[in-house]
Amino acid sequence: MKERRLTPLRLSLNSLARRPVRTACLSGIVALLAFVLIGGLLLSASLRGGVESARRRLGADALIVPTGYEQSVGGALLRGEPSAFYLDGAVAGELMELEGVAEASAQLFIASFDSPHCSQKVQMIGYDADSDFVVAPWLESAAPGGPGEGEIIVGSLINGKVGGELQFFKKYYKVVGKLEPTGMGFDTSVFLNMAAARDALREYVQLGGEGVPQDGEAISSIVVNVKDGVDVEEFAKNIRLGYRDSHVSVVLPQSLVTDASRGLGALLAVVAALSSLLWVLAAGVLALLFSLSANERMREFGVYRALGATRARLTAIVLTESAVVGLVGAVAGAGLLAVVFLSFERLLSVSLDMPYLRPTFASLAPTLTAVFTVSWLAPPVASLFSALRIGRLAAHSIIREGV
Amino acid sequence: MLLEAERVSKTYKRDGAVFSAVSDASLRVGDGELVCVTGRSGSGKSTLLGIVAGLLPPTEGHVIFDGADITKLRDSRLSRLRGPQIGYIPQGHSLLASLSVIDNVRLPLYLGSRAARAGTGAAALLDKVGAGHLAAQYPAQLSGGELRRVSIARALLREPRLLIADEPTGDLDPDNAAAIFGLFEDIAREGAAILLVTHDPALVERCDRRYDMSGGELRASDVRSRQSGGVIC
Repeated sequence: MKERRLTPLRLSLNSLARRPVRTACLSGIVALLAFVLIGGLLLSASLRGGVESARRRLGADALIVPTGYEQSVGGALLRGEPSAFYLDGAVAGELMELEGVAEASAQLFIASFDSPHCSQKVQMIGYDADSDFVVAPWLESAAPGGPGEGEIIVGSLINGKVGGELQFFKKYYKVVGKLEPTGMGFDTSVFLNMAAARDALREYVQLGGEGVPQDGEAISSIVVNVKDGVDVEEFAKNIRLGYRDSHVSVVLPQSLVTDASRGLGALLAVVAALSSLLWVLAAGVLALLFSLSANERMREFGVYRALGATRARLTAIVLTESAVVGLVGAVAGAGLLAVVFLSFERLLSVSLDMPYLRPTFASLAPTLTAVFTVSWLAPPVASLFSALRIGRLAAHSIIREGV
Repeated sequence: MLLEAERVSKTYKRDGAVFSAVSDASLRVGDGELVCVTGRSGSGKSTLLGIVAGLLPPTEGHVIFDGADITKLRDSRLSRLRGPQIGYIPQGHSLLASLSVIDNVRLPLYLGSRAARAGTGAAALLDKVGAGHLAAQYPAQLSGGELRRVSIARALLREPRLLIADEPTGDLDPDNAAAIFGLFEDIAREGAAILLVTHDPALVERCDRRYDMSGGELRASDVRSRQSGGVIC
């Protein structure tokens, strides 16, 4: 007969296999803990990444938009909700020349149709490569020279490859660049130069698109950087008051980010509180279960003691068993999370209604490892008291008469 | 003398009151001797066995094993001594349900230090106690007599100089009890000292010496000499 070494690990595995329901319950608690802790970490990191990305990408002091579309521009930029809104062309030209403006550039937003014939509804953004100071430098890195006639640069979540073609309205466009993920609306946007955007807008109108001014020079927003020393809040206020009749309003991008940060802070506080509460609850339940199990198995440990095991060896056997439970649970929880997270990440990011950009797993590795370890070690920590009690009392259980 | 317990006492606190389980008990067991302790349930026999086996520290008194006072040893040293030199068969069934019979017998080798992993082969010991055919079985599949035989084989694995058994025939029929006791006689004949608790008068008659325990007090009782020539006190 083949002899197997009866190491503490082997004894633990045998014991766990013999009590499958108890093992499943204990591991299930750890799996839930790992799922929530690691999930909370990924969620927090992704939301932080999204807000940080928004802070970097919304590099203008002010966005001038039509009155009533202040929320729409936030939705389009931060959350990828395709929007179309237009300023009067003549007023736009006047606004770009206002006192206090250091640099300004127009952008044209077109929302593709939401119809069964379209694979996805996207935001088309036309920009002026000569004057733009917000997206142009970034687009330049994806496609040097920017998109020319009949060319587009697509966001990371647009279903198109560089070199391929995508159809918008009546025309096919060649994809000349694909952007890195931003966690913002830019990921579901398509960028094209202003002339191409105006052509697209005309096709949009021909196909039934509504709400577009007839002057042919429509723009959606103006990105503005103010001169040094100009108070941007005052600048915005003056425009709101001075151009009230022209239905012009101002959005301050940094306030969008600040609002997102505020929302993020509240959400992360809830996540942190729930994670902490769950850890405490899980540790308490595990400690209780281990304590009950220790009472039930005290005689078994007494036998170990009678056969020559030291107190330390008994403690090692108990801790090994709980560590195995922890490892099985943590791996199961992390595995389940990976499946759920990767399957529903897009849905999650949309439903959160906030900028969302998951850092790479490599950059998260140290923290993920730490959180995984915290989950894994919850059972050994919870069983420590029981392990020490077993070491102290096991011998008595084997001595008790009439057992 | 291999084992000497000198005026050992063990007290517990029970519901705030001090309870004396063993009171001023002394006993001796020599190599090759088969010594039994009798007494009513709850009289303190198992506690006494636990003390002399080094499993329980006495409240007072000393236990000298092979010249060393084991009551003064730290847990790790005591376990190192106890594992290979003192075999202990607890009362009732004590095999681990999660291990096969052969693994139950081998278990003591893995609870001590690596250096102490020498000993008689587990399979040979199972053959010796007449349980060789049960090696691959699990405890749940065994009868009471078979369980007891396997427990004895396990206690003998490291060739102990002292074997302590707490009511080893307590729940066995007379035939099985006699056979198990015969095993103890064989082991004693090979030179090991045996200290056991039994209630069976027929078996008590076959012991070299007998102690009676009552209310925690131990008293040496009638003595006879086995044919093998045990120590007479």
